Amino acid sequence: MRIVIAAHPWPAEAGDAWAAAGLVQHLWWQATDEHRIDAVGVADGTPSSALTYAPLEPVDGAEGVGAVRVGGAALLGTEAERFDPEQLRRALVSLAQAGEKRIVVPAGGLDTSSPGMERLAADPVAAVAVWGGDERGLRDALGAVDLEVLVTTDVPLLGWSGMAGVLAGDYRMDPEAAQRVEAAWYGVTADRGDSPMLLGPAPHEAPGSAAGDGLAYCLAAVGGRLVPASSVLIPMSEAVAGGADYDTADLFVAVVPALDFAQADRGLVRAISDRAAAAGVPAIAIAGQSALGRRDVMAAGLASVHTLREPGTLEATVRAVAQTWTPVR
Amino acid sequence: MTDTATATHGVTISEAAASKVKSLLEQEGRDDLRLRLAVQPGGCSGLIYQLYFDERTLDGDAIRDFDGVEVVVDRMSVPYLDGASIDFSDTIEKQGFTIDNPNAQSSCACGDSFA
Repeated sequence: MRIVIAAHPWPAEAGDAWAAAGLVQHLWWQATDEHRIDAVGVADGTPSSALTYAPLEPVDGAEGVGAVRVGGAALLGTEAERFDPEQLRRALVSLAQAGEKRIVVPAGGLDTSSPGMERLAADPVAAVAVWGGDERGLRDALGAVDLEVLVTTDVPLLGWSGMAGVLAGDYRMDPEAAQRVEAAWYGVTADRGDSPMLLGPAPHEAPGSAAGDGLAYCLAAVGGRLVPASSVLIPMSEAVAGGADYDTADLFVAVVPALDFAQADRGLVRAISDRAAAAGVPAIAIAGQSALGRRDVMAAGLASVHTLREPGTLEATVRAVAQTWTPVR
Repeated sequence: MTDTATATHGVTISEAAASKVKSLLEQEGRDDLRLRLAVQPGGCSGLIYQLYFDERTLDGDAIRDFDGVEVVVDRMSVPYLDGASIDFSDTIEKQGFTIDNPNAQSSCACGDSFA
């Protein structure tokens, strides 16, 4: 039996993505004597994703923003929780001037934590600083660059189901603060006058444009393409790992600290379940916690989701899952 | 200077659409714009069409000229759009640009998303 394991970073118990993948692989081996296991660590799409692959190389003129060359692209990253928009702009311009053809910026998703929402409420349009006051100039500077913006959410910037609406409705952001956030971004989009799309959503309506507190929208406005993070990061991980065939297996396993609807719709879990479906084999998920009900699990294409009964029990959970899915010799 | 436009694509454009594009470009008053058609993940059916004017030329872009109207497709979108055609209607029943894509197995009611 051949098993492919893909894991996100799991800091609490396993460390970075590769450590998490290696731990699960090792535990599976120990539990079942199954030796045909390939494991790959996949970055989670947050601004520090590049660190999953290599130490950051400095970029001329930019502080706190570096780059890693993976899969023919410059994957930007920062050791901080989020990009400094001004430094990100400098990095983009510097790389474009150096002749870089493909730049990847992991914008992350929505920060639904209380501190995150408070930060957004305090300065709703901080991300606009990436334009450096000259959006046209940045767009021209990036004219020949294929700029991919990785997102882990499909929430658009504005509208009923936009950033402010989702944070207020689903995550209890103060309604007045949410209204201010919506108004602030509406003002930004109205001032710049989003170029009319002949067909398809405008940048402020595009799925994922809310990512990074609106950073994704700002980058889309200067020509960036919003793509699900896993669609780029999984191939990058496979390129780094090399060797194994990650498309064929008897069982696919996704390992994530938290399984929510964003993961199920567009994240690593969905990517793994799609791959399993293409191969006609099961996919399962091991998660620290899960927000999915039984129907959601089925809709996500998963045969089952195994969550930790309590924090700190990843090892025991993996052993139990391995013995459930793999015949013990 | 890198040659960025050696690839071709399978997208065509109707006379009505080409005429409308020329009209819009004249209104813009710019001769550096091309018509870009791209697909992006998202929407109710999985993939979204994006059709817009773009002055950029990206590495790997495929360009075809239709009597002065340049239609450009990025490298990633080319396979999804092979055989697709861009049309324009201005009737009571239907207004605006539409995409007829033989690769689309299904689409949603809004017409913006397909799978």
